[in-house]
Amino acid sequence: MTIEQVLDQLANDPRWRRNITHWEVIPAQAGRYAAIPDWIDPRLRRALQSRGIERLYSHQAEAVEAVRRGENPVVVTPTASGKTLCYNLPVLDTILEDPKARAIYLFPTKALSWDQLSELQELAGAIDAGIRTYTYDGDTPVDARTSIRNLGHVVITNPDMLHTAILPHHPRWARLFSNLRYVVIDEMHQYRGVFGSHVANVLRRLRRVAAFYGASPQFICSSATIANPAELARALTGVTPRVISENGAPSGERHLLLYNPPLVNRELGIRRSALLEARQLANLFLYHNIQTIVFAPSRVATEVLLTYLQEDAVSAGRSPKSVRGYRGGYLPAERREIERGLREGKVRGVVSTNALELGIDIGHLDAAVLTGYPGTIASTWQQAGRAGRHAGTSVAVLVASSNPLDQYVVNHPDYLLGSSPEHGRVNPENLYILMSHLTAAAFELPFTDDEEFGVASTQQALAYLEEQGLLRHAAGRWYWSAPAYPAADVSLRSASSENFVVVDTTGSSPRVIGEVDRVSAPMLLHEDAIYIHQGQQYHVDRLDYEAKKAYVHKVDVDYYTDADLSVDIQVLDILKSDASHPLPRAFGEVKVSSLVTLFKKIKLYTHENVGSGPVHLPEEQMHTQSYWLQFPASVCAGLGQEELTAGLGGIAYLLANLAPLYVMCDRRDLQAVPQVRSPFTAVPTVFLYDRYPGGIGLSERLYDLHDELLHGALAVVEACPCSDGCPSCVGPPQEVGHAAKASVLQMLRRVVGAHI
Amino acid sequence: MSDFSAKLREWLAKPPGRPAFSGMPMPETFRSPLAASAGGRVVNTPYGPCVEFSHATSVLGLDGTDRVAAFDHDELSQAWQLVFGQDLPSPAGLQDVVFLDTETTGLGGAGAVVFLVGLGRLDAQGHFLIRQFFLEDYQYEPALLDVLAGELAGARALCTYNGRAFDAPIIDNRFVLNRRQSPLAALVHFDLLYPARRLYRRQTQDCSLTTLENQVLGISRAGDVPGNIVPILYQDYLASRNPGPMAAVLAHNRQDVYSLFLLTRQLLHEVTAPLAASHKSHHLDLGTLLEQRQRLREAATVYELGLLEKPSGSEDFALTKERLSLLYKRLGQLDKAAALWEEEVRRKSSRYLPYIELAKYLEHVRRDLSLALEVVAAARGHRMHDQWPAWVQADLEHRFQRLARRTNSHTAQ
Repeated sequence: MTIEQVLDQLANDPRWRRNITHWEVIPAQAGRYAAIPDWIDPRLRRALQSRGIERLYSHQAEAVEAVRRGENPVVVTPTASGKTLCYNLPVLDTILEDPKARAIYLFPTKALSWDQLSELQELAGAIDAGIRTYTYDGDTPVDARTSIRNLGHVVITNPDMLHTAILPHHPRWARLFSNLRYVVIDEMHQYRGVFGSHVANVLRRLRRVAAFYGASPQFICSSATIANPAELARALTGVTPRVISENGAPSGERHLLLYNPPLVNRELGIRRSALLEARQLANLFLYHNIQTIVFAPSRVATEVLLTYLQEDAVSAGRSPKSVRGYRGGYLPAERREIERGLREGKVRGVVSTNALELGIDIGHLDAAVLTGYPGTIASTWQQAGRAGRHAGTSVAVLVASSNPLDQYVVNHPDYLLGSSPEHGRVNPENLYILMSHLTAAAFELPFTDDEEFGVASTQQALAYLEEQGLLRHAAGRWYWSAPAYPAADVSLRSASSENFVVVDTTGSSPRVIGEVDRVSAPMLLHEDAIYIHQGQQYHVDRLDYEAKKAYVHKVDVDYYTDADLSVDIQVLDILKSDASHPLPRAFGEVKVSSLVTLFKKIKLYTHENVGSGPVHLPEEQMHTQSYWLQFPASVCAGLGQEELTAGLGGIAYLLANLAPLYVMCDRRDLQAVPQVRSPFTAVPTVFLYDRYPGGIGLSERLYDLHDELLHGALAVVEACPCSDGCPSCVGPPQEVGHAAKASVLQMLRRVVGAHI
Repeated sequence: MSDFSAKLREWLAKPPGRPAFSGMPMPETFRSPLAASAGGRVVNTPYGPCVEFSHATSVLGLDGTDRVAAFDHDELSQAWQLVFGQDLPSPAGLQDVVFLDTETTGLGGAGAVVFLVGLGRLDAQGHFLIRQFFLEDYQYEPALLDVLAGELAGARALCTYNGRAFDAPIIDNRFVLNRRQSPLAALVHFDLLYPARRLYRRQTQDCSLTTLENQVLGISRAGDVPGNIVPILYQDYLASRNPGPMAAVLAHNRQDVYSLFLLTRQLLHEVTAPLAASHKSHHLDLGTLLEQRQRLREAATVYELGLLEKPSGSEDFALTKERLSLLYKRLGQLDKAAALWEEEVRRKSSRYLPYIELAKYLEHVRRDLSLALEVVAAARGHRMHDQWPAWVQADLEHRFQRLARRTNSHTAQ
């Protein structure tokens, strides 16, 4: 069956039809093309032609011309629309014209760097003019580093390496910085929130160092669709961007289906598992040989789905290898092989976490199945965009879970289709972040008395660092004057990079089969867990927590495991508080502890709970800063227990979504926790804390913005047209309760009304 | 951390412009309390002033090591090649080598500054002259670098201790940051750490310059400044201008340069007079070095001497004997080699090499098959046999079968 016939079946067979809540057809778009500009070096032109590229898409030509005019383009077009050519073309052309010219490419992950390296090397190889491209990251051998520093035309790296290894050692990179013409920032939308604020400062340091060597590079950015690409690019790079968003790549007709699994228990509102529905949909496509990507919400779900689909492949007479898994934790060689298999069409189906949401080159697929709403509008389009050929029909199906947010999205198609995607926000002037990079910058080059670094109060900040014994002011300059290496003390990302390795002891010699990040390890690798890798089950025999190693052996059992995580907040110190306000507030240090206490065994296929066991692992603790609101009896008066719970949940939901706008961070940088009766304050309390060890100043700022925040919150709820709450205000009713909106309005009006 | 934030906010609220307390008031004329108290002088360069200290030592070596100073060009370049495995640029004498050591504010990166450079050179009269250049404050760095560039311009070669990894990159960085060509690019750089580590690692707990200076040269420093607090002392000097502790750093650096020279001389001496009583390297290491540099006869002599010195039965003794036997074999002195193997086989050595080598010798040189068979049989029955590598066991098995076959056919005839 062709994909059109499969779509007919979905539309007509009531088994499917009744579950589809919305069917959106995005019409085919003809490609818009432009000639390869005649100023492009003939060698590069021939290399393009040898790879079958005779003309450019309009957005590629637009970007290339913008670079030629000295502008800083930001290319915002969908996945697989040929974004990489937008920067590879001008960069390679410049190097052909001036072999001294250099470029730095920044990617958020190592996997993307390698992907880019092979693509760039192929093109550079086709030109055959000795253009050298290298990746420079933690895995680069020490003896290769000198030649990369001196000879690499294009150095592909990540912001973390730039921050800790390249900028602090810039004199060794003098040749690169002196000739630095371009800085390419791919996947720009990844640099938002606290991470983005760090990266903005790293780029500020980069421009400062480049200026020392007399270079002023152009920035070429590419981004997934976000609401404010120009604003984000300007904040990150410090230069004025030119947004290019008219996609010239042709696309076939695309279908986006919102799919709600059938109710299995109407009274309890329980629906069939999204995972099992996704399995059936994927099988429908795979059975008809339609190349399909399935996105799963977690690593465990990825492996469970993969197990199912591989079995289904066997029973349908196909090779189990025709369906593969893909997620962080697979070793690089394995990932490369899967990517190649997808491009060449040998791999017909892939089950992935959001790892494949990024621009890793796997070509175009015909169908995408999204297991659960990915959480943001931008991610939904990124994932759905993996299906879509230049010609021919493609389909993406979003399968809702019974999670309230998912239920809201599939039942309110306008929310997804009508609103703009999320904003990418950064705040490079965040005091904590700015100071750490000002310190690093002072190490790199002495500041002068009239120099500014992002803020007008730079000189006072430098005087502060002098008082701390890090700098010395002499003859109009601030000299680094301490036996320290400041970049080493600042990590750009919250998560620690130390991974746990998984060692398979089944065979005669132990073998490392994968890695698990530190945060997930207690959930996935506790003793007696079933760890699934490429569909194969392994029993965890021993977890060496100190050495970060899990020893496993192959098993074949009919269940998987799921661990329970409990989170607790303890106030350590109150640093500021204000009880005079109608809604008392406080700011202080807290300890957030998370502990995995037990795990459940869940039977495959039926998903019944068939047993459980204890987990003995140390508690994971994070000391951070929090802002909290203490609700007095006067604000809660007249609310029953259920209404109060709903009201607090609604306020927590509301603040978690609203606060990032006030402090210019990302949703994931802050966490909100409601407590109906807090053990510490003894009254109903909502905590908002920084999800960074030590805190990063977000909740402190929110404490100061208390009034504004509460006014803003009330305004949002009052203006929202929904009746009982929705994801745009107090949260979906199924999550926070039907009473939430009314309770929140009542509580906030009492606070705000009393204060005015 | 809230403390940090409160303090910082207070700072940021202050009016712009230089806060009153920060930095020392700039003196009208250049003044160096360290120069004044430690006998330094101020050198004026087009880039500003720099502080210089000079010191001369006569370098008699009572143990014979000062014969090195009397080497002619050929002797020196041969000795140098033996130590470093790399030629001195020719024509260069010991007087053309600059011995360098730096003191810095940090371990590396753009923020690490060289605040003291010590340069040592041998003069024609046999004196070792040490000149040190000191950074009075950060703004005088261009002058320090200018002096350093001038000093190094007249040299042919540079000798350091761990300078490849440490001193040279920092010096290069400083020149780049001051937009000047680094003078190191024009010099051949010899890092003594590598040969010193090869020759002395068995005898010393580590191979830091201070350890070797103590255990090889017999020098003990009194009241020396530990290296790791040197950067802190410099910060203190900048803040207080109290010359006392800085004078100790000067002495420390001077001793480093001097020891670097003495240790170089010691190595040049040892490789050219391997039998002198004053050699401190391990005979196994010295022998290996000489073998590697194709000085086979000298190497053999070193091993022979080692056998006389070491108690027989020790691990070193067996190892030395083995090396010597292989060296004899390489030199074509098969009978001498065989004598050593035989000794080892007689005392039932637990090393497999003597058995195999002796068996080969008996079979192919002496053509005594039954004696060879006896040796192989002894090896196969040795209590350590099962712990020897698989290829050794296979070799013995194969050898045994062949010898057994050939001796049988002999007897049959």
